[in-house]
Amino acid sequence: MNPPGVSSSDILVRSRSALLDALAALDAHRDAVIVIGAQAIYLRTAGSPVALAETTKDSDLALDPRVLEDDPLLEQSMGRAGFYRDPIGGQPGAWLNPAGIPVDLMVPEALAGAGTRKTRGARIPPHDRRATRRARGLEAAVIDNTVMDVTALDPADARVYRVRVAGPAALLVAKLHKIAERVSVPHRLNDKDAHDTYRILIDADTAELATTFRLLAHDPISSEVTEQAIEHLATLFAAGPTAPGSTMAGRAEEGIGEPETVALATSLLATDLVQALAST
Amino acid sequence: MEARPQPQSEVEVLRAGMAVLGDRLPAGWDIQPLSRRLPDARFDALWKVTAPDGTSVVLVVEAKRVVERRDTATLLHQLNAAADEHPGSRGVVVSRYLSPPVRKRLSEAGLSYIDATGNITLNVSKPGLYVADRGADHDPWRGPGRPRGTLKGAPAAKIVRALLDHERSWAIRELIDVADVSTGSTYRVIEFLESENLATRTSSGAVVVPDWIALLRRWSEDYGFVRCSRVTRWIAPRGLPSLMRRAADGPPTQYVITGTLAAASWAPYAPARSAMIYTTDAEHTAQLWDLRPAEAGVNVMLAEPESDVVFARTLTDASGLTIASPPQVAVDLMTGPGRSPSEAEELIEWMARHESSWRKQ
Repeated sequence: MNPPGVSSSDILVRSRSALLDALAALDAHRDAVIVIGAQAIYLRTAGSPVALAETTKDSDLALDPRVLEDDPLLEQSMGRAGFYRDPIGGQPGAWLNPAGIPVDLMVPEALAGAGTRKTRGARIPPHDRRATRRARGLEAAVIDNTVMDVTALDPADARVYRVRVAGPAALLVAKLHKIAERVSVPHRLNDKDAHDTYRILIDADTAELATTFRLLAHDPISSEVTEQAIEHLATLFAAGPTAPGSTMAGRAEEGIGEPETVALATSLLATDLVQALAST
Repeated sequence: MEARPQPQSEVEVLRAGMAVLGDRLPAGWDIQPLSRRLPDARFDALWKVTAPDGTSVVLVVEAKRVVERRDTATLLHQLNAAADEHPGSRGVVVSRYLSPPVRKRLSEAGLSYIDATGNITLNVSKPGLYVADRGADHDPWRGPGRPRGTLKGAPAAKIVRALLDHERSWAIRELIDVADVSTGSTYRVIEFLESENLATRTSSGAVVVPDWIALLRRWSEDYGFVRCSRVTRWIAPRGLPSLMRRAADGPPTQYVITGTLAAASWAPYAPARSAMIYTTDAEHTAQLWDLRPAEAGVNVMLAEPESDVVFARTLTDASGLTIASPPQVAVDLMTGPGRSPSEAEELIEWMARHESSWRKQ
């Protein structure tokens, strides 16, 4: 029996199911896999309900090439589990499970091998250059993560998978890079990403976040993206409730929640974090 | 309005009432008192009003210095019985001063009335006569310093809360103890409640509230969440669920949750968008709970109450939160911002259905 309001066709239920499919497919690489993106944010912030319902079609997995085995090849593991590369768009790393639900395999840019600005696929031989996609801002996820039990959302699905999930600081770094990229291209503004920042900020303890940020800022792999993320946090959020990020976070609740409260809360908590980082 | 001497006795009230009517009769009409041989306990005077064509009507007059809303039923019964003995007559209530709610109640009961300040509604079908005029809306003869008939203030709040929180009849002494109010104030408030038909006394003198919803509604006219407290506005940046955890588990401070969040314990309506919380020291509580002062985007109102009755007979919910007594939550919602009044109606409905679960014996 499903609880009221949840049917197995719900997009969140189906995407979590696709995530579990992918985790099973990559079981041989379990130590190299880290859950990131919206799925990770929902796993991390389940204790802080907000007005905007959780919804995502995508599952994002980061791969740490430093511990990724050469065998089996990623493309073979995914293919055997019934995944196929998304034929539309031709993005490297964009996979679909047999039900057509997307799962993205990503590699932090700093670990993605040689490439120019135009290189989209990670270069992590012997794995195929189209098996994964490189992305900036994910570097923190390979440093800040802990193992969690990931369960299905469909009560009839008993699968549980123990996997590394990016921590709140790493998720914040990744989100801040994504939002900053989109702020310069206004038509791609995505309020939901800013609202995810709000989710992380209201759930995470500011002092703990600051401690992890300092750690990330000292690690050679993540220091550059972390320093940049802190700058983005200051200008896009901490500058006040009318800063672009704060406004976007609030706007995501228009009609269903409290945009003004969300915008102000996001900027206040961002300010707390920026101040905590500046005071050391 | 010209200054008039206050009619002291019923005779003076009658005289003043007849003058008010006489002044407002159309030209050619006349009014005379009828002499009576036998006094009749059911009324105080008979007036004969004569039209220019010689037709007339007898008015059966009941004079009362003070008329209260609860008197209406008795007056109606009394005057109808008397009018039955004088075919074609009409009953009229005459008083020193009739307040707007009393006038409304008399009209609703179909009674004509006259007061000495010039308020009059007289409706006679034969001969056709309709007189209506406005006098004073405030008692011009009310002395300064006399306790006003309201439920404003801390003593009234304490007594009303005691009466609402319990389902029982009260010896005055017990009420004084439970409500923690002086004897004088208690009598004054009970007298007022009696005059408003909101409390009755049994033959042994015990106080009984026949209709707690009516009492709650009447109290809400004089009470106000904002009016009766010093309210400051804040934002809990991590949201209300986080604030509730902090209030339940954090360092102790005197507080009690009211409004939507409290009502949700009994009658969930819609997710709360803002918290209404009583506390003795808003700044201290705000600091403990990491609240920040805010103008826009407020999601917490802290209220330092004028009476500590808000902290009386509180409840503790499953998560350990201190919640105000349902009648307190109801009156705060009735007088609160935004959607609060409609949430109050939901709560009152719940309270009516589950009276035994929240009203103590």
